[in-house]
Amino acid sequence: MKAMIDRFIYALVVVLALVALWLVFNAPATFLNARAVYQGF
Amino acid sequence: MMRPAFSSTKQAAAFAFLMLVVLLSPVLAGKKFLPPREEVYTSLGWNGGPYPWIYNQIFEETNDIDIAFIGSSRILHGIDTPYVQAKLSAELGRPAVVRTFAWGGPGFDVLYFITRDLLAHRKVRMLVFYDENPAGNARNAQMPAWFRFGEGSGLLSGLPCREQCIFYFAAIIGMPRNLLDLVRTNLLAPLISDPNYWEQHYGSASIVKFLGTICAELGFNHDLGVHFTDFTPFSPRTPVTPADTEIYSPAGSNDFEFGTEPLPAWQAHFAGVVANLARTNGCKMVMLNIPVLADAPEMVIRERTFWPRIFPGDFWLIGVPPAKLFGGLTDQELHWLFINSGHFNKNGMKYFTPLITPALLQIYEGHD
Repeated sequence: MKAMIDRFIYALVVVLALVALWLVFNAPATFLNARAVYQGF
Repeated sequence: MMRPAFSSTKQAAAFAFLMLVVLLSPVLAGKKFLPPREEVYTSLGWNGGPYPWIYNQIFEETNDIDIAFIGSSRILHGIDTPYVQAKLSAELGRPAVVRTFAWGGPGFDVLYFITRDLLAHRKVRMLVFYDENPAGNARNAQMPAWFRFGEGSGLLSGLPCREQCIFYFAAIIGMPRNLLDLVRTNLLAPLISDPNYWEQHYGSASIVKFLGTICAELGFNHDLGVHFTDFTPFSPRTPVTPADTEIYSPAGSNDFEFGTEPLPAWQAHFAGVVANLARTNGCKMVMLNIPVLADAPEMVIRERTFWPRIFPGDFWLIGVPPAKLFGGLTDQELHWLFINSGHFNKNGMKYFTPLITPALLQIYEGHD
């Protein structure tokens, strides 16, 4: 059981990381320019 | 041997939880955990656009607006707003209210968000805008501020999934700022103080005095940096008159020529929602063709698409054939009208505005 939970958690980490990476690479570069996005912060 | 990324499953679970919270933050925050909409404007300050002026006009002023020029930089540099206001006042026999709401970075999406805020707070009779066409399909860097998922994700329905993900990602990026604005409000940038970025960079008198417009007293800049040449005051003497301004009509003959390439999905989508917004608020919509330097030899008024299909109803499309507008000017004189390849300076603005104003007044008055 514990091994299954461990596998699930690691799989979840991988899936979430892939989703995050896809969102980042799908976004226009201007959104990743922190100075432009957060000017006046 | 490589060190494992996590020293225990608990640590991996904590990381997964953190990732989930970050990725779901726009959904978790909903509308309840978003600061008031005005915080978007106060968070931006003077740098990405003259937002303190726009804030003042949307959230502090309350009277009705006769004509609002709204859009990105070519509106910002192209319209002598006080001139239009004076002409409309004379025509109506009462003080008219004409304002410009303009910023840096084109896109029908930003146009939608600012128009929505404007129409939520002030009655506007006529909106004048232009083709928000970002070069290379670029996006406005401030989208993480403008798009807030909790305010209605239904806005995105109909967009391709990949496009929806771009806006969702923008909402994630904007979330730390929104949460900060929720716990403390932004300080208001002074409306009139030392010259702000726009006045300094473009050598303009106060944006407030010009009712939202930049009146750049600078010469042509060849590299889009800060290397402007000296300003040469110049009033072109050409045969063009206001009668050369054309209002598109499917029945009449005119010089408009429409492209057939489909607009990118997000641009068509947001142009459509702007049209709906204007219709539900009873605004007339006028799309103005503002020429750039490269248009000068064109005999026709070129538009990217057939706009009347996207903006049905109370919609007018106006422009001056560039070859008439700039006819007889030498290359040197032409450059005296612009600060760069896409934007008028004071000379260009003062030359262009009186030519299109009678058509605008005709539309304003003629079709109530």
